[in-house]
Amino acid sequence: MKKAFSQFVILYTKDIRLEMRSKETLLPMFVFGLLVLTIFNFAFDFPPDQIMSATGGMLWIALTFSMTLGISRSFGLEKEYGSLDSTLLAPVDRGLIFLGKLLSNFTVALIQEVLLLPFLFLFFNIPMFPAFPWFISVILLGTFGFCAVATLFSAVTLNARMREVMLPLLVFPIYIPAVIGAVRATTSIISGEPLAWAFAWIRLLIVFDIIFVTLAYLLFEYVLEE
Amino acid sequence: MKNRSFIWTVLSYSLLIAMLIDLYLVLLVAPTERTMGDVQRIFYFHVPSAWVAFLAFFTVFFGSVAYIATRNVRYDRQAIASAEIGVAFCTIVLVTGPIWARPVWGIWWTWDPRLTSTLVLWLIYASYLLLRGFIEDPGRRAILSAVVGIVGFVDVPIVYMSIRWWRTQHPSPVFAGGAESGLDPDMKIVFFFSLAVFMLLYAVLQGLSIQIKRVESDVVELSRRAAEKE
Amino acid sequence: MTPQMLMETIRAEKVTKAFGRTYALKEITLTIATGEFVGLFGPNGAGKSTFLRICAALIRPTAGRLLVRGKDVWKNLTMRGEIGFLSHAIGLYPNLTVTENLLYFAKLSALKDPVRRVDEVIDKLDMATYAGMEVGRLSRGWQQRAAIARGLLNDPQILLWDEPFTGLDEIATRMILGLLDDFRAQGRSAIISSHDFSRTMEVCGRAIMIDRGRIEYDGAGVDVADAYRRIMSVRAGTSTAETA
Repeated sequence: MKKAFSQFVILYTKDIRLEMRSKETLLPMFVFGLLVLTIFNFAFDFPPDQIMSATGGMLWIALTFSMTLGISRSFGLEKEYGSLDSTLLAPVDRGLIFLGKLLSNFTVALIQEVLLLPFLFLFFNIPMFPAFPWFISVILLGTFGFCAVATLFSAVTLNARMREVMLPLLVFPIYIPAVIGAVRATTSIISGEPLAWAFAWIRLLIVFDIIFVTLAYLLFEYVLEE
Repeated sequence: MKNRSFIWTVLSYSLLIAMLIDLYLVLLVAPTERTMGDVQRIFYFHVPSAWVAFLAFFTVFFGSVAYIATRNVRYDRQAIASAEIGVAFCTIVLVTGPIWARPVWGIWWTWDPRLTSTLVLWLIYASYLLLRGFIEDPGRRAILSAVVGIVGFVDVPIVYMSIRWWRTQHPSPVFAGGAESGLDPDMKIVFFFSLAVFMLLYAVLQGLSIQIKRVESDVVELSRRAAEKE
Repeated sequence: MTPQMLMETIRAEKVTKAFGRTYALKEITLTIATGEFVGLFGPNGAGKSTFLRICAALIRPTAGRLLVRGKDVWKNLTMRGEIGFLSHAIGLYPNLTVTENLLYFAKLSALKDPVRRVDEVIDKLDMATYAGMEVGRLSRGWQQRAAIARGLLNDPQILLWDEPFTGLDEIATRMILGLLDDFRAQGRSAIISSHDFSRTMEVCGRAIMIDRGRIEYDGAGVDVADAYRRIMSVRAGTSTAETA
């Protein structure tokens, strides 16, 4: 158990160090997210009183699209130089390789969100609201679930033709329940509705995250074998 | 071998006869629904198709789990055959639904929980089929699609629950008395007959499709041997 | 564990791998004894790399089984620690330095005292001056050395090496032959896939030739070059497009 945890930390820190050195994932993700928000502004020219009900949708489309862009590269980079093979040669549980990659993708996604969220509030003139901590927890849960599904499928599509196309095609249908929950909860919190409404959706997100992280952890060893 | 093809011939012909009887029952015997009129008869195709689709997707799940556990290609063939049939019947549901909805509710499409869930199901399994087309190596295709087959099926109940909650917050057109509620006894008989015919259709399609897939992989195996002798 | 199991390092039982419409390997059966050095030869696409990757448990065979020291590697994760595998890919992260790469793999393999082990390997390959450089910035030759350092890191009992002599100058070749000599002196085993008969047979006592996924020759190696020529002439007879 202790050994597994230290291997997990080693896998995770390696990914983070690589990302910090190249920023090849973070920067394109952030710029693309910003781009989506900008296009929304042109696509829906909402009057100020209606903007609240659309914010959740806009935010989650920007986030999920940009995360897909980032995560699609997460195993491709390792494959290029054969370093994925070297990692697989080590006597390490395949599920840990998944967890390490999931957490590093999640970390990069969170950094991107820290950069991107101020623009959401700025662009659409959203005032501060009291339930801000709950807003953050929705962001965390929704992002984590998305990273879990996308990390699994980025490994699934690694050896498929058209993998850039197949990744979103596989991820989005599976993520639909969570996107419903995340959008509903976000909108309801931002527009100051009773928190109990958001709680129901937060519960859904928690269930979704637990189920898919467990499933992906268990199935990952089959995904990586040739 | 001869015996087997005889069974298949008998099955196929009895299916044909059963389908003709079903058409007769649905179009001429079943009573006309009072408020919806004749268009309601599409219900006898719409609902059984949905059941077949769901059963087929369950078979994909079963085949996927069994393939991972045993690595027997038999189960991979079961899964892919059912995925194709499931998507086909899911398409029937999505086409007959709006045909039924238009005269009754006045709209082609509504984001009601069942229709929406069916659409999401269609999307999940359509991408499952697409993925299979993009992986060349049969061994890897089998194992990777088994993973997708399992993840996809586990998602189904979550999709259904989330869409139901989502709809209850946003009132949708009220469908006075869902079709199944308080069915006339004659309608019930026709419905269950129709359901049985659709299940038989599924079984026959599944069996034939698996046979085709077996022949396909035999052809690949033979061409491997031919390539060796070259 | 029976004594016989200790004697043999690798046992392949009817190992078959089918890729699409061809067999990469067709019912390969062989045993390699502990301490044996085997040269693996054959034309391009014969299945050499596939066989090595199956031995390294990177590819699961379509049929048959492969035992390393009497154990199935797919069921015994720890067996991977006994295998060293070097492919033609560098197998390192280009954005990390040599030391960072080696430390990562050493820690991941849960080696005892990883820092010391990394120093040892760097010394052995005489690359202390380049240890702090990112792998992506090294010349091809030094990248290859770094790759070798990675393969030797876990002090493997069995070394699987795919084409060690390709694109190397005389000095580097001598160094690799020296490494292999040391390795053999310690009673360990190796499979070396290669196109270079004379160099490979300097260290190997046994040669195996495969063609189209089947073993065509298995012997002491004196006549392996003849066997190769025979295969190539048969091929040239059947298809003129083939160039070796």
